Amino acid sequence: MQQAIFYGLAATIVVSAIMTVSLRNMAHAAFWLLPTLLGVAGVFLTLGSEFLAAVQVILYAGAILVLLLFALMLTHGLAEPSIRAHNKQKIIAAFAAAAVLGVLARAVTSQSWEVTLAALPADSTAAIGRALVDPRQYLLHFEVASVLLLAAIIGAIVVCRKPKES
Amino acid sequence: MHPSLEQYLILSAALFATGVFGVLARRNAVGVLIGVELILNSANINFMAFWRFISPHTMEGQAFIVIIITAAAAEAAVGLALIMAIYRQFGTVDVDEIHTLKG
Repeated sequence: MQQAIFYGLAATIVVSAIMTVSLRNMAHAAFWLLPTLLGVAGVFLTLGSEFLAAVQVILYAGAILVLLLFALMLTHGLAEPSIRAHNKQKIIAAFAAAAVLGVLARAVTSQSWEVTLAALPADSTAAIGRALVDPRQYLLHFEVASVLLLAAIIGAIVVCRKPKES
Repeated sequence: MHPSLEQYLILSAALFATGVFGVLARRNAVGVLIGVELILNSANINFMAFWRFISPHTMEGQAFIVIIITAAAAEAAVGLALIMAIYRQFGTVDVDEIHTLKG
């Protein structure tokens, strides 16, 4: 059963990711990103982290995808099939991607991993919440991430602002 | 029967390779950013699988994923703002035609 769910999620993720990078129409490509992101959320669920599955759906499928669609609509060439979607390196890029996949798959299968199948903590959501605000664990990382977000907000506004008429 | 660690790692490798193809082959700058998002997602699958199969008692894997998702949101916001600025300046978002450093 778990195997069947995993293969279903994996097929969804890989097929829609391939559609995302290969479709000519950028709007369709961005929409094909949605099954990929939801599939990754499903993988998080099968690995026992409900909190990050919810974060994945809200942040990726909700916020980032909408942001990408806005950028596509505000720049032109959205639905013009006459524009080529890929550059001249398409064939080389496909070979490079296949080579990356081959190397990674070889690296993964040639190892013997020391897997423990210990039971999950009873409430992983509470555990991650405590770990993130614990000064001996990830409080510093958490604060740095919030400063990074603030810098990104200000940076995006400054970069995107209309230049002053001179 | 549970899926093994290797299966998750292979899935993430496939997603990574797809993202690499997107980054290398897309002409639209937004398409390149979508490829980067795929790569970040594959990294998240890896962190989550290692967390589950190697050390489910500590919270390193999960904390890493929270930070990565935050960085991905920041990257998307700044990247798309840059794309808008480039579009205003050059009238195109084709990464092959944006090859000048002059303003």
